[in-house]
Amino acid sequence: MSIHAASSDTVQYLKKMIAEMTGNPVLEFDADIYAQIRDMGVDSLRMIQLLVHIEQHFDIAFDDDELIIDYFATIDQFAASIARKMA
Amino acid sequence: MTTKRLPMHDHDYKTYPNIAHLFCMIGNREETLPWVYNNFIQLVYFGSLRKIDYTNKQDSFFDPLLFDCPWLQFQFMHRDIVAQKWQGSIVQFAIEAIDMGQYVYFLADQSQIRESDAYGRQAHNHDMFIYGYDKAAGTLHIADNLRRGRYVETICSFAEMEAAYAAADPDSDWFDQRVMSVSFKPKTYFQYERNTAFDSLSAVDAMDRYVRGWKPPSYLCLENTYGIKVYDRIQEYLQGLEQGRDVVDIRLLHILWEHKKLMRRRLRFMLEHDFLRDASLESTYAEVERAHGIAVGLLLKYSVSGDKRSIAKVSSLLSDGASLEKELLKKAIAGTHHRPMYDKGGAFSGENSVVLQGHTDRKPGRIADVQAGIQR
Repeated sequence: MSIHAASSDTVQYLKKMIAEMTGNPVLEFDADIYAQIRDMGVDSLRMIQLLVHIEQHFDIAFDDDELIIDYFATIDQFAASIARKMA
Repeated sequence: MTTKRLPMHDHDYKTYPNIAHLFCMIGNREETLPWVYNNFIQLVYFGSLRKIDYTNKQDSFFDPLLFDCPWLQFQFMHRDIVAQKWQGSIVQFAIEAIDMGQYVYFLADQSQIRESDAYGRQAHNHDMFIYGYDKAAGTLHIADNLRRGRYVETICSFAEMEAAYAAADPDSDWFDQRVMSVSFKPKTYFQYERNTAFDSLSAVDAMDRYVRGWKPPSYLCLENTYGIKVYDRIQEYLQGLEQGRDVVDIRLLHILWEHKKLMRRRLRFMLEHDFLRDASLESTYAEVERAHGIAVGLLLKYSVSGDKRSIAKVSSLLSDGASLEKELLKKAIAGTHHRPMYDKGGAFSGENSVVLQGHTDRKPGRIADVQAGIQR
């Protein structure tokens, strides 16, 4: 799987998860992948919940550095990191 | 006027509402930075509350810096006055205050506020901060740590606020039944007295007390821990967490992370203004800040995953971080070039940040070196 392809699938998965977490179904389709995730209603605890879920779902592990709040500012950055770990 | 919102500046210091409100009001205005970096140095761990907060005065049990800020003009009024002059309506009082450019601050029962996690539950007395209104919509703009402990800006209806104000428990009102209106004061008259210029002697003295864990000589302070020694209490807390005797309280680590952000920015300020000349102090201190950011993430991760390996990592990060911080601050204390700072701020700034004349091109040659006693 190419990084690009993985990233495309992952972007959609992240959008779906964020929509569920925030209770805002519109985000699954309309979330701007370059917008700040925290502006979508994802606070620090939700971000870590999302991160732990992603670790389990994709069987990957994030580095400790990546746990700093706002490290993944956008869906695009988050998906790129996941793609690199899966490559 | 049917709608008005006072400025709310974004910032990084939102662990506790009193400090969050303060920085929302003063923002990062250039003229306020000397006061900011004179303060927020010493930390206290309250044994009875299991809480860490800032405390800078040498002889004080606790000094809420919000009320001590020279750039804010507070007016205190007993609730009886609201009852007599505004027929008990906090909403009417708030609208009049906001029309005059004043934020409103008091105790309220957040269980009456729909946007609060406490809504519909047991009474929850807490700070309430109002910064705007919309008469047509019948809503107020409010801010506090309303959701999952996070500081948020949101709205509530006039009816919710009247109920929250009326339901606040007078016996647990830490504002002593006072309603406060507060405005940003763009120029302070008593600038020398109110400490609006950066005072390197005072700041370094506070840094020294922080590094030594200096405890004020007062019975009020006996059960508290001060300065860098708060990390001993944090290690005890982490042990309790690891052994299942305690629960996750992210505020304990978040306030430490916030403190590191402030301290690093203080070092940068001191470098920019030639109080310090070793630039590696800030860049190395950034590692201390980064370690605390990771520790916050790890503790949150533990709260989600239950994986206790995260606690051990937090313990190690904080232990190493505190050691490095102590080493760097000792260097900063020893390496500070003391002098009075003549630029006091006080320029009229309106609602925007103002860069004081001369801040960017200040030369060391203009300074008086207090230690050497030489006026150049």
